[in-house]
Amino acid sequence: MKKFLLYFIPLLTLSVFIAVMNSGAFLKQPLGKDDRLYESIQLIEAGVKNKDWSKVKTETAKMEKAWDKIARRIQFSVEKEQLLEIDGTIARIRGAVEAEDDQSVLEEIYYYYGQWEQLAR
Amino acid sequence: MNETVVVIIRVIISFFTLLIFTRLLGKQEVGQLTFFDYINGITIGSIAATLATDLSAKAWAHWLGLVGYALLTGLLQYITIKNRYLGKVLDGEPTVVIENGKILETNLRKMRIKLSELMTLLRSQQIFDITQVEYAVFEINGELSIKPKPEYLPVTRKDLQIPTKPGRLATEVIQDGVVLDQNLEQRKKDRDWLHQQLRAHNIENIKEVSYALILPNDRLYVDKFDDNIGKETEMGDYDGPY
Repeated sequence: MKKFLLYFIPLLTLSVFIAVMNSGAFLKQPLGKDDRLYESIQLIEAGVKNKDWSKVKTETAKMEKAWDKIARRIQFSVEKEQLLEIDGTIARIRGAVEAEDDQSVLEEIYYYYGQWEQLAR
Repeated sequence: MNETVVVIIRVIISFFTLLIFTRLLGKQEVGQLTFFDYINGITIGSIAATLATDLSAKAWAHWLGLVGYALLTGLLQYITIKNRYLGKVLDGEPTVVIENGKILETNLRKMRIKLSELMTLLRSQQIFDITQVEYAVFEINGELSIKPKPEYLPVTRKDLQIPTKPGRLATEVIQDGVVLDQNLEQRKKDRDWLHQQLRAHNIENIKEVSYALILPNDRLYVDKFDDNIGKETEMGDYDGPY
């Protein structure tokens, strides 16, 4: 038993470390109802195209909450710069939504899609 | 991003990874490390430190670097044990640098050692007269091994034909007030014997004992928690507090 634990504990420790360091790709996906970031942004895109600004503003608030949740759980497996860059993009989407500037919102959304693809890869 | 939490998690990952890998790579003494082992150890340590604190790159990338270095080190260790030729190529081999008091300049040059460095190494081994040296060998861990000429070797018990007994090791039998029964058995003693010995030292309770050893001559060395040491051993020359 002792010998088994002697090998099992280091192996388990290394496996947990590997899992933590590679959990980003899994943890960026929605795990509940209020962390559907990608979906929120798609809804914002659709809202902007239909000029439905009130719906866009509601979705923007949801988007920010979702990003806070996701950022907290993927921070162990991604680069700090990637998180900061998405932080910036989300802030710029919020600003453009407040200004009801559809062109800027769409620019930032497509930039975000690119960042999302690269996140935790 | 909560930097504090991320750094704490990454410190845990790098610390225990390093611990596991160094245990796997064996316990070569620091003094026996070759120059490559030494540099390799520094590099592995540096990667582990970066893994813990450099948040600008993913932990995984640094961790893979660490694993790569550990695996290659393990592989080279395996090769040097299994293949004598490759072992010599990778680790190098000892080189004679002094023979019969004469410095072998060609070998020194091959090893890129200066004469002044050779003299320093000799002096550090208490050799101040090079003519006393029969052989000096430069080892792969950077140390100089010296064989003095027979006339300069110290006299031994064997030379003087003084009878000797085979040496034994001391065995720990009490540590922090706890009896180590397994060690007592090794020396073919029992608790009764131990209590008897302790009573001879005016000790009634084992809990008073910090450390006890059975010496090679079968006598018991006892150190109590209460050392009864007077102020004369006090080294400080200020009252404190410090």
